[in-house]
Amino acid sequence: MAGLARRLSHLWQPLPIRVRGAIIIAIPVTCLLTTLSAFAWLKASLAEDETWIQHTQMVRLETKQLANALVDAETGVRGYGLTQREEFLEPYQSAQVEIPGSLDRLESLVGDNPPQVQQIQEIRRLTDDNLTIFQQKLSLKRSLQQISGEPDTKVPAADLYDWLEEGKETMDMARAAIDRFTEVEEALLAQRIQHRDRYQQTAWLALCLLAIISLLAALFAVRLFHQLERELADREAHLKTANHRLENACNQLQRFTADASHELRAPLAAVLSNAQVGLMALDDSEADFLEPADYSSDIRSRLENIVSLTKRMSTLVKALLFLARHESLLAAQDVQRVDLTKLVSQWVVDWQTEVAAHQLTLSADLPTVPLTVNANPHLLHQAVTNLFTNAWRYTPAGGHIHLHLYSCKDQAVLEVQDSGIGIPKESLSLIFERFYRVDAKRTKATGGLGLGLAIMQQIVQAHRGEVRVTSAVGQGSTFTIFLPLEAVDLKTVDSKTVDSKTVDLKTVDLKTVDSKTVDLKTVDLKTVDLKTVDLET
Amino acid sequence: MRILLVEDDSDQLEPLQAALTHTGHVVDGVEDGTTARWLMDEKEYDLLIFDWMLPGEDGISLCQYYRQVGKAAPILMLTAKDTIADKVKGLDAGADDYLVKPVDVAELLARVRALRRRSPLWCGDQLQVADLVLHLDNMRVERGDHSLKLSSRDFQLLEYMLRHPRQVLTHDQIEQSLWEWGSEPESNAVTARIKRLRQRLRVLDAHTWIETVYGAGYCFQPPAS
Repeated sequence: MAGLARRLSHLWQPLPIRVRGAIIIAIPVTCLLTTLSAFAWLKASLAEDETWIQHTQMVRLETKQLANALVDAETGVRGYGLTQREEFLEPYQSAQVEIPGSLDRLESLVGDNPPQVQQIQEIRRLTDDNLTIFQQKLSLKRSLQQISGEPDTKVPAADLYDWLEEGKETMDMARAAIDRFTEVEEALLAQRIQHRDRYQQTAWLALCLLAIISLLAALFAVRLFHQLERELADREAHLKTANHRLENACNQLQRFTADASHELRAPLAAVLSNAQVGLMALDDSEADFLEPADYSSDIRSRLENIVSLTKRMSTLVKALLFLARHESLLAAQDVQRVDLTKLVSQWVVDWQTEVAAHQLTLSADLPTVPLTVNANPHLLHQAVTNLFTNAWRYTPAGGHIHLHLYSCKDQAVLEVQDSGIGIPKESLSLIFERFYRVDAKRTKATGGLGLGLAIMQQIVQAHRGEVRVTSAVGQGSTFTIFLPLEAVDLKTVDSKTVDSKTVDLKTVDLKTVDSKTVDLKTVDLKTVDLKTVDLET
Repeated sequence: MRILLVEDDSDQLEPLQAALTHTGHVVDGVEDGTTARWLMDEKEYDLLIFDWMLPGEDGISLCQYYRQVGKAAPILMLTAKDTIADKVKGLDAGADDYLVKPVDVAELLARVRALRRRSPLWCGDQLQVADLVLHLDNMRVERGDHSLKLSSRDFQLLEYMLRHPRQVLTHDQIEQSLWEWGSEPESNAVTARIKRLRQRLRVLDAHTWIETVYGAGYCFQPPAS
């Protein structure tokens, strides 16, 4: 038994929850349906039994009537025989009418029972005989009267007795036949009542049994349900623990990165200072001796190597620390409402010298309206600078970098497009990964760490933004930053700024005449709103 | 210039101290906050450089303490803490400048020069007495057509004398001003340094300007022209 239970539980456990739930619900439902059908069947059987009993009782009643009619006929005839009064013949006459009808009804009632039909035919024959005898007796009596001519002629007692006795035998036989018939019917009735009672008992028993089974099934279902619930709770708890553990691990990793980066700074600082102090000492010794020794230039280049490597290392540590710090979304106190248009135009001015130094050109296409975003301006600057640095690093001299800022639906979009070497298709999905380099040799020459784009993407994501890139090898790349726009609060836009906006709008119109770069996107609904506000004021 | 440099990591303290000394400053380097606080009370400094995290007392409370007692010398925070919030906290505590490690020595020296310029006692990048000019930024001394680069030790002594011309400076005063805290100068150390400086100035024919005042000390006395 225990083994079976275990085997069942083994079969049960791996079932999917959907199946288990269906089974649990199916158990009581099945029990209910079985009980209902069993009950209906029992009810139908009982009704049939009842019909049969009624049928039998009707037969009984009819038989009794037949017997009574027969007795009435006999009594009527006898009374007439004794008294010669016609009124005694009334029961006889009515019985005469009644008996054949009664017999017909009986025959039709017991039509399903051939022995009883035979019996009825026997009875019919006997009653017919009886009636014939009664008729003969009556005709005899009447003819006797007509012969004697006197109504009150005394008939000798002996004759009367004989007359009365005549047909008694047939009458008894008829009675006996009716009794036999009745006995059979009685037996049938008893049998049917017994059958009904037995059925009733069985029905009760079955109902009780089914009720018990249903109850047990329901309890079992409840138990299974409990078990399922417990299992689900266990699973949830397990998931929670796993989740907690993962979170911990993640936090630990983040903290480790932060700690490690922090701890790495101290020795780096010492190495850097030492090398630089060494270089200073070297400067002095070279100043003292007009002709520096050969080894001194060797020492100098080595010290300078140490300095540049340490600086590189420290940039890397700084970048790692930065990545570790800005893993999650920015908190509300770290962001402020900034005008992206103003920021970007400032950056463009700042970068012009750098661009010129690399023999590149930089152009920008900025909207005439402020694009307000919720952002940390320092981080945003870092992100866009990384993109920009990337652009000039991989764009050969004579190339062009183009910045395009516009709003699209509820997003501010900043495109940084270069005419550089481009990124191979297979690398596009990887460029945002930390330390990934498309061409390691080349990157080393340009001095990148392989973290710039990762940092850029992380910053943008921390602002609930998104970065996309398209590129064609040999033609250049376009990085696009999407940042959610803040709803422009009309109250903050005073009449002065609105005025300047309208002036700007004119310049946009002028620009569109000669240049196709300013598209209609920059003149969006917000500008129209501002204009109408201006008109009202 | 006399500088108090507080840095708990001796590996970092030593090269910075060397660099600052090398550029002609007298640097008291200490590794804990408690000693630093005691020195701040005992001595006058022209510049203080604090690390943030220190045993004993941290750089921020040293800063606050220094400002509370009413001293005005510039303070430079030199720390690995690099967030904006940290910088704000450091500057609000009373620091005049904030540098994040690892720092480029050239930048540190430039910042030190910049802070020196902000001192109320600042009178240009050079000191002049009669026709003798001492350039503070490159430690060269100049008279007429001749110029000469001084070692940091000679520069410190000459700077000190030029800042107090025509005053008798005792052995003790010189020792207090030019020797780092914790160093034990030998009894004839001052004499030896005076002697060496005179030798260096011989090229400029200014060696006689340092006069010995018997029984008292020395006096920088340019000839009355």
